[in-house]
Amino acid sequence: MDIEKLERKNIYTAPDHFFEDIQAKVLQETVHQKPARVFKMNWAYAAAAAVAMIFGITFFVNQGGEENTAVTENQALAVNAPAVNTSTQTQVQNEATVAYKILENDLTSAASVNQKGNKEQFAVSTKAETSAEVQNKTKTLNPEVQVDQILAGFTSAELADLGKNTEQDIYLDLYY
Amino acid sequence: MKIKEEEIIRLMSGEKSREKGVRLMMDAYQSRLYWHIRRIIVDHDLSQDVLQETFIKAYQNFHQFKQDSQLYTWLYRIATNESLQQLNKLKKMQKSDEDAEYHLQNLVADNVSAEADEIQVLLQKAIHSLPEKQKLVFNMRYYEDLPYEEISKILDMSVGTLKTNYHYAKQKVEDYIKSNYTE
Repeated sequence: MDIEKLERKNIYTAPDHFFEDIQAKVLQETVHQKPARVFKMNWAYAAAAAVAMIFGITFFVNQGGEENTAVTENQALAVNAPAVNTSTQTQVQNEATVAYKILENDLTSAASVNQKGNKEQFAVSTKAETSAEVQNKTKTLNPEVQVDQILAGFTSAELADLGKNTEQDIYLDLYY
Repeated sequence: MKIKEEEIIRLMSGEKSREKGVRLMMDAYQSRLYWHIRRIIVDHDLSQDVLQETFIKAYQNFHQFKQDSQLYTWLYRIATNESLQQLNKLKKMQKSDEDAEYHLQNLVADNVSAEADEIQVLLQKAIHSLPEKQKLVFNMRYYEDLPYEEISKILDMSVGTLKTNYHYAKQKVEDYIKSNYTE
């Protein structure tokens, strides 16, 4: 058998109008296709954008740093707060002690003035006994009396001011 | 033919005349290229895709076309490469090369026209039993009657190798037909 002698037939078929259709498709994909828009980069705008971005990032980072500093400061204050309270308490106690001593001195001086006024009427030994008794009385005064005495040292206006600064605890009675 | 090629190249090179150039190029070569692809891939839909891709690539890479060879040789080269890529995809889908060969032979039976002779169908099946290079050489020489020099440029093979390949391919095809043809 010699295949060179065979008729060279095409055994396949193509659909009608196939070549017209494929030409249209190829043209659609090539010549008629809208080219994608290409933006030319303007270096001036790019540089400006880069600088703006750097400033923005720097500002953001710094702002974050300040917030952190504020937070750490608050934390430090919180840590120091008990110490401040302790010192405040100590200061209040000192003021009370000073007020008490002033009151004591006043009373002592009043006693000594009384001693001078009665100098002619009472004997020296009696004066000594009297002053000793007053001192003993002062020393033996209970805390309530002492408070009363301290309060007596304030004027009515000062007491009114102090009263404004205090809040009445309406539930206080519930605990007694 | 030479004058037509020069006209196509001139039109394709100009930006405004490119559409006319594409039309002229397709009118001149689409039929030959389609049947070349169809004989390799067999399936019409796949052949259509490959032909379309061939012209799109030719359009996109026209600036790479060196005018030291003929335009149709360059187009044949693109079409052949695209067809082989499609065949490789088909082979990957099959378990083995034998399965791919069997699949192509079945495709021949499915795609053949009603008027086709049995011997013509057997001839096509025999071609699909050939190794890839022999198949290409045989198709281009036997059906398209291309000179060995042109086939050499398309397939990057020497003329001597092509002649040897064609000789072996022809023998195998004849043997296949002898053993399968029933009169």
